[in-house]
Formats: sequence, structure tokens, C-alpha cells
Amino acid sequence: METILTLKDVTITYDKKPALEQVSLSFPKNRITAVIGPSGCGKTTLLRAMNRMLEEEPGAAVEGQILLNGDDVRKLPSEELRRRVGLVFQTPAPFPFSIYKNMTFALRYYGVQNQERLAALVREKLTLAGLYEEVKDRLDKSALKLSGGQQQRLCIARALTAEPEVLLLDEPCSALDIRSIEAIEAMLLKLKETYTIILVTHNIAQARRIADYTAFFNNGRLVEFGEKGALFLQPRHEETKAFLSGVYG
Amino acid sequence: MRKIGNALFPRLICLLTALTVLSLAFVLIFIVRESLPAFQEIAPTDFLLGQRWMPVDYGTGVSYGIGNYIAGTLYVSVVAIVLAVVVGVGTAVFLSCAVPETTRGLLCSMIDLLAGIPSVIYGFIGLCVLVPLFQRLRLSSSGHSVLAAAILLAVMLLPFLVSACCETMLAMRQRYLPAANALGVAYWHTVAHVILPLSARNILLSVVLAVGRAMGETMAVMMVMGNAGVFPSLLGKGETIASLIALEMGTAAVGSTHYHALYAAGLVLMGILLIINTGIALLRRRLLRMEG
Amino acid sequence: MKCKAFLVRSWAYLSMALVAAVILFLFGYVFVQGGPVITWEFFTASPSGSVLGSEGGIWPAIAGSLCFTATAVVLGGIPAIATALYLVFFCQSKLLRTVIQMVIQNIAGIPSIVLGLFAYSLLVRALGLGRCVLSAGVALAIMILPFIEVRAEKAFRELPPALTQSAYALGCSKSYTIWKIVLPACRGELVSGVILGACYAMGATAPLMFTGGVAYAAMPVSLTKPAMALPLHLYLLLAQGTSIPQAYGTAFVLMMVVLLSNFLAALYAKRRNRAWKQS
Repeated sequence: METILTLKDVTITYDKKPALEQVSLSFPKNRITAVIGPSGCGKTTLLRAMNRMLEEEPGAAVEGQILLNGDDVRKLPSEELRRRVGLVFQTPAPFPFSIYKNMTFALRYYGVQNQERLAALVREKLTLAGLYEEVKDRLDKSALKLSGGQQQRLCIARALTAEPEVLLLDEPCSALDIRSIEAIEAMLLKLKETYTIILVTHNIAQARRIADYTAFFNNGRLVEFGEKGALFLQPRHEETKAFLSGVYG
Repeated sequence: MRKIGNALFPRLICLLTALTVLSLAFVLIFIVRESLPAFQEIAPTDFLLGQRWMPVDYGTGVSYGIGNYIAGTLYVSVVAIVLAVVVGVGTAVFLSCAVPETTRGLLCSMIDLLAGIPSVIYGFIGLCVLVPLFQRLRLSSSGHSVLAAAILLAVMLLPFLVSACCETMLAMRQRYLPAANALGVAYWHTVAHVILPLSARNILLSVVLAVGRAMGETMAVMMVMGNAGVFPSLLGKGETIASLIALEMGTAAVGSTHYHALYAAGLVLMGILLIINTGIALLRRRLLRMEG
Repeated sequence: MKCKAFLVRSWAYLSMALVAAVILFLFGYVFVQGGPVITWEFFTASPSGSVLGSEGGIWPAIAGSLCFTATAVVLGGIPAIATALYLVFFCQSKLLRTVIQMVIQNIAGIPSIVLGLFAYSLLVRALGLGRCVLSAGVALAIMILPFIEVRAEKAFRELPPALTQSAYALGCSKSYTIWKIVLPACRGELVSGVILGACYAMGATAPLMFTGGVAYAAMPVSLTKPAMALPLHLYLLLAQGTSIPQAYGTAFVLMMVVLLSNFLAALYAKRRNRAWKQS
């Protein structure tokens, strides 16, 4: 199993209060890894540390090492890191522009000027996200007019325009209806061929459905990491068992 | 190209912010700089408390006492505040408790228009309407009076007072009305006995803020107050520090004592305002702490 | 007990009635008295007559006011928006933020006549610019700076953080995000704030009096020469007893500017709200 993102003894504190303690974990390349656990166990903090968005928050301190393909993320310029590690948020946040402009926003930043190339890339990423057919006739209309599920798929497509190696998703389906969830899950399964997906979800069934690997966190610690169904069928730790059977979380 | 922008932009923003902060420093520095020579020739106590302002020697000597002008500034501001509070708080009660939201929005926009009317126009209307009225009613011989100026000032302060008080009362209403209703208390009873008293603290804060604003007013007051450097009385004439400066800067020779004295008067005005502003800041902090 | 409730209620209604009457009177009086004076000639001609200003028009005053206001908006609006950007996006220290906000509050408290004194001392005298549009423009700029800054800061703070975070997550720099996302998104509020600030500057008399505003100036207006201004013109017409009808006309024009600015500003602010409500 080839790994792409590795955490070594990562401890994160907010104003001296620990949010994540001594986390050591390696995320496999081109696979979907689900991160599950009760609310407040540190899942979102984990994601934000991986693309260094945590630095923006006052009082946050990160210890330990995070390596992206062997590179220490703290030594990389934060913009390059965020290009290689994309993040999609819980509530869809399309820019108040047209769909087309949403998609070309990052591309233009990275210097792509050629109109044909832009159009081709937009089409490619929208197709990957399974959204192209639905919006191809209204690319110049406001992205805010799309439905919740469409907006979220647009945000994922938009994240792909930066050509990341890893895609982090923070509970992307929590505000969506079943149709949209199905569409997004189908999309993620296809995306893993090209990208590495790390998916934070509170929906255990979802993790069961699409994850190749699952990491269970509780109280800021990594409790268990298992392959495919192993974690769900034969959890090794008491805490995992309790969580899965709904005792808490 | 982008890299240059990324590096330059934050620096530019910081520079402009520093400029903003420095502007306050510059204003203070220059006003003080031009005021100091005055204090070398005039004793501060004479300046602040002296009641004779005679920059030109008409045979009785020269003196620079702005006591009457300080009194004038304070007097007209206080009277204006009293008038503004009486009408303004009542209006705020009406807006927060007597009308639905849409009407409130409309009325508030109308009242906000008052804030946009230039000071000169207030003075103009005061001159054309209030002053002759006062004359006709025999309230004052020339019509120019402190009261007329106070009325104009009060109208100018209204929009700020009304919007601040309205906001507070709306918050109080939202917080306490449901409970009062559940107890079966009549609506206006709640307004009179709960909402109004509880808003008193914030109203006081807005009032103090308004005093600061009133004292900085120049034009409207200047046009109807009479501009006589005497100790102010309600129906008599008076003059504010702002009017003094506005009227005499044109005729003061640069570098003369008169010139520096005018700057010193401006400094005194700023000093009084600074005290009021600091007072508000402390008061606000204490009030917030009391509310927990 | 019931008495107090009744008194409060009556007080409220009476106050509102009084305020409404005052507002209607103020605008009505100026429009009724000033209306007849407004002709095309009034707008486009220069003051004339045996006593200058008793006849003719106020075109130089209008042009002068526009120049003073434009200078004030550029010199004051840009630092104001920059300061707001700094406070919301770049400032890390809580202490510094409090200090800067206090500074802005204190600038707002400076009486406009004192700003005139400052500009006179620094620009007219020390820098040797003499009485001109630029000197007065600086005084006006400082006057409207806090006004615009407060509105800009409010607009930036109300922006959903998810928007800027999404841009950062794509690897875009803060500068790019501000330029391409924040400023366009807040455009309505910013424009509205600037329009109101401009209206405020246009009505100010005290800062101009000895820094750049004069009773009579030739056209065209330039930054390094003094100019006429509407509110100053009105004041001088009255102080020197030149012409009451002309004064009414000038007042009419000023009131129109106030009404128009407020209307435009409200319109622009509403436009921005619409974009947000959709999401």
C-alpha cells in the first residue's frame, strides 16, 4: 500500500487545550479513507492541519510532522501546499459568480489564460464531478442558483481545478438530500483513480459504503485504523465497538 | 507578476492604515504646535476662565479669555441635548413599540435624512424661520438667541439619538415582551415600566455621545446664536468656541497672538471632547461589565 | 399605574408627530421657496449682478463642490477602505485592533473647524500650498474617513468566512482573494458608503472656510487653486445679505444632492443584499 500523506506524532492544541494528541497515521494513495468519530473528536482539526488552514486561527499550535509525499508541509509555501491538498467544506460555498467563473477562478490564479484551455479544463472537471451534463447549458448563470447538492459538486469540481494530489472533504454530504449523496458518493468512487480522497463523515453507513480504509478517532486520539470492512465487522477496541453500536456519537 | 502583487498589496494596506493612524497624530501635533506660543503670552488660567476676549486694542488693552465661549459651547449643547432627548426618546419609543417593521424601516429612513442635511441649511432655515419667529414672539430683541441655536442643534442630533435608542429598545422589547405578555400585562404598561427604564443606561450612553457631536457643530449654531462674546443666557446671545474660530480666523494675522490664541481655543475644544470620549469609553466598559 | 402607560404612549405619538412635521417642513420649505429660482441658467451661469452673487447662477460653486468632494473621497476613501481591510483580514493582534479602532473613533470626534485649522497650519502654511482645493480636500478627507471606514469594516465582517476560506483552500493568496472575491462581493456596501461620505463632504462648510473655499473664483477649477463651494456660497450670500432668492436656490440644490445621494446609497446597498439572500 503506497502512502501519500503521513502524520507523525501530531499534537494540536487550541490555547493550550489539546484537540489532537499524538496522532500517527498514513493515508494510502489513490484510495478513499474515511475518518469517523463522535462530534468534537478532532476530525475537522485534523483536516485543517493537513492543508495548514489551522494557522489562520489564533491560539492554534501544531506539533509533530506532517509529510506530503515525503515533503514536510511546514517547509512548503502554504499556497503550494493548498494547491496539492484541496479542501471542500461542509456547507457548499460557491463564489457569487457564474458557474464558469467559479471553475476558472483558481485556474486564472495559476496563470492559465488561454480561453480554449480554460473551457476544456472546466468541462473536464465538471464531468469528473458528474455535473457537466446538468449545467452545460447554463455555465454563465450564477452558481448560487444551483441546488444544494449541485453546489457541493461544483465546489468539489472547483477544488479539482487546482490539480491536487489529495482531496480532503469535511462532511460534504451532511446538508444534502439522498439523491445528491448518491451522486457524490458515485463521484468519489470514480475520483479515487486519480486522486487520494480523505473523507470526514459522521455517517457510518457512508463510510461502510465507499471507504477503502477507515480511521476511528475519539477524544483527540486515533483509536483504530482498519481496511475496508474490517473495522466495522471486527473492531479491535472497546471504544470502536461502543461507537459503532451507537452508545455515543 | 502575481508574486509582485502578492508581496506589494499587504504592504500597501499596512502603509495606508499607518497613514490613517498618523493623521490623528498629525492633527494633534499641529494644533498643539500652533497653540503653544499663545500660552507663552497668556496665562492658562486667564485664558480658560477669563471672560474678556478682546484681540484688538481699542484703548482698553488686549485680553484673551475664552471663558464665555466655553460656557456658550457647553450651555447650548446641554440645552440642545435636553430638547433632543425629550423628543428623541419619545420618537424611539414610538418606532420600537408602536409600529410594525415595515413602517419602522420607512420612518427610520426618513429620520436618517435629517442626518444628511448640511449644517448650513439648518442655519439658513433657522435664520429665515426661527429668528423672525422669536422676534415676533418678543422672545428676543433680534431673534438671535441661544435657544434658537439649541433648537437647531437638537434637530441635528435627533437622527443619531433616535437610531441608537430605537436599537436598544427593540432589543429590550424582544427580550422582555414575551414574558410580560405571558403574565397578562397590558402592552403599553410593559413599555412604560419595563422597556423604558431598562433602556435608560444605553440612552445615557447615547446622550453623552451626542454631547460630543453637539459641541463640534459650527455653522448652524453660528448663524442664529448672535455671536456676542458674553456669558450665555437662554434667550440672550452667546457664542461657541467653534463660531469664534470660524469668524475670526479670517482676520487674524498669521503668527500673531490672536492667531495662536484661536488655535489654543481649538485645542481646548478638542481637549473637552477628548475628556468626554474617554469618559464614554470608561462608562461603556463599566456598563458592559455590570451586565455581565 | 395606568396613567404612566398612557402618558408614555401619548409622549411617543406626539414626539413622532413632531419629528415627522419637522422633516416635512424642512424639505418642503426649501423646495417651495427655492423651486422658482431654479432655472437652467441658475445651474450653468456664474454669479453676476451689481453685487456679485445677487443674480446669475451658481455653476462655479457646483463645479467647485464636486472637486472638493472628489478630492476628499479619493484622499479619504482609499485609506478608509484599506484600514478596514487591514483590521478584518490582516490584523493579528487584538491590542492593535482596539487601538486602531479607538483612533478612528477619535478622528470622528474632531470638530470640523479644527480640521480646517489643521489643514491651514500644515498645508496652507507649512507646505506652502496656499489656499486651494487640495488643502481643503485633505481636511474633508479626514472628516469623512471614519464614516467610510466603519461602513467598510461592517461590510467586510458580514462576508461569510466560508467564501474567503474556499479561496484560500484553493491555494489563492490573501491579496488575490481580497481583490477578486471580497471587494467585488462588498461592492454595493462600499459604493453606498462612499456616496454617503461624499454627500457629507459636500455639505461641509467649516473645513473649507480658510483652507480653500472662497467667495468668488474663476473657472475652471484646479487642485492648486481655491474654488467656490455650495455650502460656503450659501453662507456668504446670507452673511453678506446679498440675495435671499439665490440663497434659496442654492439651498434647493444642496437638498436635492442630499436626497439623491441617500436614495442612490440605499439602492446600491439593497443590490448587494439581493445577491446574498439567494444563497
